[in-house]
Amino acid sequence: MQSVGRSKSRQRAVAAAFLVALLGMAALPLHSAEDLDPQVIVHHGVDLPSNFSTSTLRAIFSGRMQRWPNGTRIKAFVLPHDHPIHQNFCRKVLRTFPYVLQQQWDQQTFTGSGIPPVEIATTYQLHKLVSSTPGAIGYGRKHNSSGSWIQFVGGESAQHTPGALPF
Amino acid sequence: MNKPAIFILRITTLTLLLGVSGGHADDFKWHGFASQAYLYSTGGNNVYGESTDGSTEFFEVGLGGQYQLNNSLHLAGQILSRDAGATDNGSIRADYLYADLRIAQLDESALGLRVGRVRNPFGFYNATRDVLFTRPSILLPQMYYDATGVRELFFSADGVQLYGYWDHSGGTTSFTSTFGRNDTLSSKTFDNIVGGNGAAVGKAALKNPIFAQLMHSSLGEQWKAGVSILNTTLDFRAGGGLLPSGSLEANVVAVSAQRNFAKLSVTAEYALLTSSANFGPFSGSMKSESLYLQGEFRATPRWTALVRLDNQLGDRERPNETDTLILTLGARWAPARNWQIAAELHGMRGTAGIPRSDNPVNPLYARTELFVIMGGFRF
Repeated sequence: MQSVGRSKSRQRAVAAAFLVALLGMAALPLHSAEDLDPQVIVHHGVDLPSNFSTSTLRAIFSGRMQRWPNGTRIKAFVLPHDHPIHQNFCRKVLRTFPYVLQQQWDQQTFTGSGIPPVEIATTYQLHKLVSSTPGAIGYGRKHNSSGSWIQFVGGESAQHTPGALPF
Repeated sequence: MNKPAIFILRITTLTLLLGVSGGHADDFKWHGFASQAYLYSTGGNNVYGESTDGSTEFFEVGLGGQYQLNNSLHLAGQILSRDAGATDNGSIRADYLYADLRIAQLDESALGLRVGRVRNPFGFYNATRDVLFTRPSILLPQMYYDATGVRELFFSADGVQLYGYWDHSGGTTSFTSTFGRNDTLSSKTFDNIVGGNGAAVGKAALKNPIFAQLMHSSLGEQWKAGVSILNTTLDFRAGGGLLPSGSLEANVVAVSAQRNFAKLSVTAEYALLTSSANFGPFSGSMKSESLYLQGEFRATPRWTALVRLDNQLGDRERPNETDTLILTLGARWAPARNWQIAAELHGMRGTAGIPRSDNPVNPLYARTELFVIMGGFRF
């Protein structure tokens, strides 16, 4: 009887340890994803509207707003739907849910009323594209918590070496 | 295809050919979708083919594209083939084809004009009702199917569409209004609208159709609400059938509301259809209301569960004969971005959800249990 009881308690301990490990594994990526604060990046030649705000960003990334104030076409780039920075960009910057944004793009695509933002696989490629495309806007990882939430990229003064890029 | 449609097609093709030479690859975008369903019903009624024995007569295939000519002008078009039992025959048609001119773009608002065959937004789902990926369920609530044959009048119109939006204090207000041109209807479509018993033989025309929608969303679409209206008159010139010449005026008003949370969306819509018929001895007015409440739970990015209660009220004085109540339970799995599989159970009490043309001989039964599974691909 005693040995059965001991083996049961051992089983419980193993199960508890397994559960803790599982919870730890589940919590770990979540925690690091939370740390991936997004930063809006804009091509250096873009003339931003004077009242640039969350509302403007929503209009741009949902596809409603198609031109900058000087008439240049807006070219928006986004990361894949399940990328943690995209998820955080939707929640923290646009203050909406990723599925809501996806629904707006699907609506545009299937009614022919607009071309959704172009999806780019990595933050590195996205940064490179925004730097080199006139009228471009996108987002990447914010490299320090005190940094500005918006950064102009490309142009003469910007750092182009991959090592200097914030991701 | 009628003459104006051919004219629109020619103009659009010409503009496309002229414009393509100066465009960039990212100014052009193709899209497409295909979905196929299997339906099985018990209780005696058929839905989209012989579903009491198991039916595969429900598919949707679409191919479209859009091209941004310059900062203000873009062109869009889509062809569609849809089979849905006896209610749709799979023929290929120009679903929409229009030129879109952005008249004004300010920092917080815009105004535009579309000319050609345009989509009519009605409620939350009408504009993309044939795409599995943009519907909450395989079969939409009854307000989108209201009265057999009206679908053709609802979905798109040849005409001019004015649209705009205004961003203000964290919210967005948008509107779309379509002024359709007069159009001829097939005798079969008109016959379906007035009862589907073959009494209407002759020429039918759609006069001055007007569609409008006003939508407001706030807090990044955490709240969304809107009003949609449709008004049109159908003129009928009899040519030998039982129904004499006359006209039918139809009005539809829909009120829509949605609340979105991180994983949950709660949607409710109400539609009121009123029509007044003037065909000599067969004159009178009719009213039909439908209301549904729907919950979508996104358990994970790949799995979504759905529950919906849909009630269609026919004649309030004869509720037992004319009401329909449908409970829908559904699940959706998206194994990859371009693929989806959805499955649903519909418990129907009443016959509003049963296509009459799929059950031409037998009387309709009061209870139907329907299982539908549909797989879809998009690009």
